[in-house]
Amino acid sequence: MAEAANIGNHLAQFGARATALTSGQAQWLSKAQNQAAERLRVVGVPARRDEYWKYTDPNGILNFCPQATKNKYKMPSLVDNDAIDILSNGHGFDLSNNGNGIAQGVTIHNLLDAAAAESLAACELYGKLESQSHGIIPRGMATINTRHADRGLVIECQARSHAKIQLLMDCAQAKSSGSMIHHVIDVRPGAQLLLTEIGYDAALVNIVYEIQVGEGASVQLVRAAKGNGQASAHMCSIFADVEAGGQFDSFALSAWRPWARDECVVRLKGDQANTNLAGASLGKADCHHDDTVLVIHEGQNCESRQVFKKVLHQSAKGVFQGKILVKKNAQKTDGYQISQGLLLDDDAQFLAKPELEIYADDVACSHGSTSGGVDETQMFYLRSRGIAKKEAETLLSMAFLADAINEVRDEQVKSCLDDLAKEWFSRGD
Amino acid sequence: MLNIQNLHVNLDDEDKSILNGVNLDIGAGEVHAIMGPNGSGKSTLSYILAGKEGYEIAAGQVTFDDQDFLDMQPEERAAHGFFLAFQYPVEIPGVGNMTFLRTALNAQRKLRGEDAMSAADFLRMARAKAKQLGIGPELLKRPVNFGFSGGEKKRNEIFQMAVLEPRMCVLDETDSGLDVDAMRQVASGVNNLRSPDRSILLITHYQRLLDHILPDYVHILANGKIVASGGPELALKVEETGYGAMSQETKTDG
Repeated sequence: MAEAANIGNHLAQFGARATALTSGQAQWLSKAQNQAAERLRVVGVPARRDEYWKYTDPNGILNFCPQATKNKYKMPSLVDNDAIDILSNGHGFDLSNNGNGIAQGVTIHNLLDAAAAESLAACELYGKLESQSHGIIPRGMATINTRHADRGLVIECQARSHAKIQLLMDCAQAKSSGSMIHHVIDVRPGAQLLLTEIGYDAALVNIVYEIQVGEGASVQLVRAAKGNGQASAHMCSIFADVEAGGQFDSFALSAWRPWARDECVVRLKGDQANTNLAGASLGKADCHHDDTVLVIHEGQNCESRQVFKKVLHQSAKGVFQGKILVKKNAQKTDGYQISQGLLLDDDAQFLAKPELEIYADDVACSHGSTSGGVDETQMFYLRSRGIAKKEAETLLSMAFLADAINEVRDEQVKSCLDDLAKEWFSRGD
Repeated sequence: MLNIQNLHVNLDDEDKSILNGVNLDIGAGEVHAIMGPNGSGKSTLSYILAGKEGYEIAAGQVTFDDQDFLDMQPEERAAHGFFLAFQYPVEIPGVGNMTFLRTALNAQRKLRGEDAMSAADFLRMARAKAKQLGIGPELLKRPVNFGFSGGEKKRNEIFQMAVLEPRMCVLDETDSGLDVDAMRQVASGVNNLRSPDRSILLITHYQRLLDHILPDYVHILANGKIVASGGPELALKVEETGYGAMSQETKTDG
């Protein structure tokens, strides 16, 4: 554990435990993890002086000390019917009752089982998209994960298969206060996957998704969690490569998360590939929510959308760093980005850094960012009809978030996200 | 029902008085009209009654059913049965018209200690009332006033009034910006809501609205004060002589 000293105490302990778990596994995984260790020496652990960590102190997670708590709430769900539910209790993903065979053409393995099955093509993805992502923004946290991940899923969706998979995370209990999860997902041409992640975070989370979206394939990833009042630090890195005609959509609802950073890197490799990236964030009482997004346009006639909305109060801080990079050959690119903060009091803060970097000459790209308080005329109108101030504030906040939540295409998931956001306003913790 | 005594109001930010001793008493079931020139304080009076911030009450009092009205929050006033039809209804994108109205109705019922109305009962009731007012179902589904035409916005105000069933309604220039047909429709909506236990205060520039909604009393507001009161014939007099003459009279009187 030469690199342990740099990682931060608790993450390093994780790492040590994870390494013990994975030692003795098949060669491909240990090889990929050793390569990640090499990479980490070059990339380095994130520091405050790094350009993309200016607004978010990485010590929020590097020096975070997790305390396990009992979960007192019912397990939520984003999709009720016809989804493959996979429960994670913090030690791994339970595939005993479901998984393989339920959806035709879809195979699901635990990362460590897949380690033994050398033949899985998806395994080649492990660390691949992460390793190619460092050129523009160093992704040290993701590299730490690739180095030390001790659980995750390897999902393969064969060509033209359809699947709905729901990951139910029940990770807030004792002994599982931290989790280093790494998923690799290979979605072949014409296949469709709706993947949702919902439940209770472990107190310390560093999670990575590497997703390959084949030609004409479509992937929707929706992530949300409920809180149970514990202190936590949550880091998620999503990497997606999208081939021609493919679609990759991602949505995250960040609520009840005291410290969270969601990074997303989408490469539109083929022509007519599209991506919709959105997030709704609800923060109060010193919480810190960061979305750092990069969309790389390589193919022609590709469309990308980024819609991020944050409702913040009581010293909560929201950060959005979003970049659209249009490479020289990516003609006819249509890129759109909006980030907005709704500040419910004077103590809240929204920091946005929108960026466009364009090398092609026939493109349409736009970006916008706003922050402000509740519209007083709307507030008075609602109150004049009998709606109390707090409830009016919730209605207006939900209306503000609707633009982001409406980016989710699945109606059922959308309505569950709506309910979760409303619950956040009513629960008051 | 609603009693205003010697009401003096200043703007919070500026040293400017807008109302200079308004007295008005509106009994149950009565329809009053306040007419006055631009800047006479008509809209301010309606905002003060609804509880808008940004004004300083320098003197006077307002009671509703003998309770101090100015001490109440805007939502409490609504729950007591007060309703302001806005001159410029506010657009609220992202909030559905029906969600908004059901939330409002149930919030009022809660404040009054009544049970909430179920979604199904509410929908049935709202649809029936919309139909009476000639409001199509598509208007109910859209976000509150968002993208509505001027006429649709005003009709939506009257629709809200019909659903919330207030006892004291103030209509602030509900006729402004309406063509003749739309005004007729709005006026007939208001007339349908007239009842012995519901009082209405119409605020308007022009006599023409009063052709459609016949008031019991007409008051002329000028320079923040009621300078003349009378029956419907007073509105006709204004039409002939203009406001200038009446404001002049007060200045001479004062």
